[in-house]
Amino acid sequence: MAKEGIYVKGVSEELYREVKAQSAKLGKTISEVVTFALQDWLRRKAPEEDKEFLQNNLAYEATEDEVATEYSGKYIAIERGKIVGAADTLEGLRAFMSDVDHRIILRVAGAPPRMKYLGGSSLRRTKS
Amino acid sequence: MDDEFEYKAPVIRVRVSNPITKSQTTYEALFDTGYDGVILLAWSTYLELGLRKCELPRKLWSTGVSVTGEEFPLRAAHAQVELGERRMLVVAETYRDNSRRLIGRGFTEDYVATLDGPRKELRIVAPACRVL
Repeated sequence: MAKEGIYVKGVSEELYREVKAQSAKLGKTISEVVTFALQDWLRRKAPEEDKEFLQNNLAYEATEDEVATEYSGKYIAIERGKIVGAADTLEGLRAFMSDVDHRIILRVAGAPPRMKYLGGSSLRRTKS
Repeated sequence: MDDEFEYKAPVIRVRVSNPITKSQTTYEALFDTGYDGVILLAWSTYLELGLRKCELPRKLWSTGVSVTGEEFPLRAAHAQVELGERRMLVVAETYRDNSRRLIGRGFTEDYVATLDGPRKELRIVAPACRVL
């Protein structure tokens, strides 16, 4: 009886050959390698790939200039791809909020993004 | 300074909360002057506090640079931090699968931080008067 399986279109033969060669060296089957890769992808899949995250960020990016002029100095909330409210304080935004999985809250004209260094604590001594 | 870390290190006990839902957690974070942000949360804490519900747009996230030069986006969200009697609304950051909990230089911009080696103490106090 044939084993159940799946057929995936569009995988390059060169990639397949390389995976086959590398997996053989490790004593793994292609099936094991592909299963591992798919499980790993699921594990790593970011919440940011969620629909609401994308909706909200795309909405902000599409209206960034308008937001900067219209809501300067205010807090705004973006839910399900729409600006749902603006207020002078974060607390004041509460009235506009609904039950969502993702929401953007922004104080318009806040500090721009920059590089931040995280290096200091990586050098550790285990003995004094 | 605390023994929770594998070595004697200056740590700060803070309460971090979601300013919208008020869910909160208290923990000790390493005071790391090599980090120039305000507070770096563990990825699990970021998710547990529901900070995805008060997140900054991805376009405004900063880029983290590790000691090896690796660059990665730092997710950012509004969070409330309580230190002693003080409450501050700050931008908390994290990155995927991060387990480090750091308090950075940004946190102490309004304070005087003193490392007292002989006493194994980190003191953080508000200045009596601010120099403008």
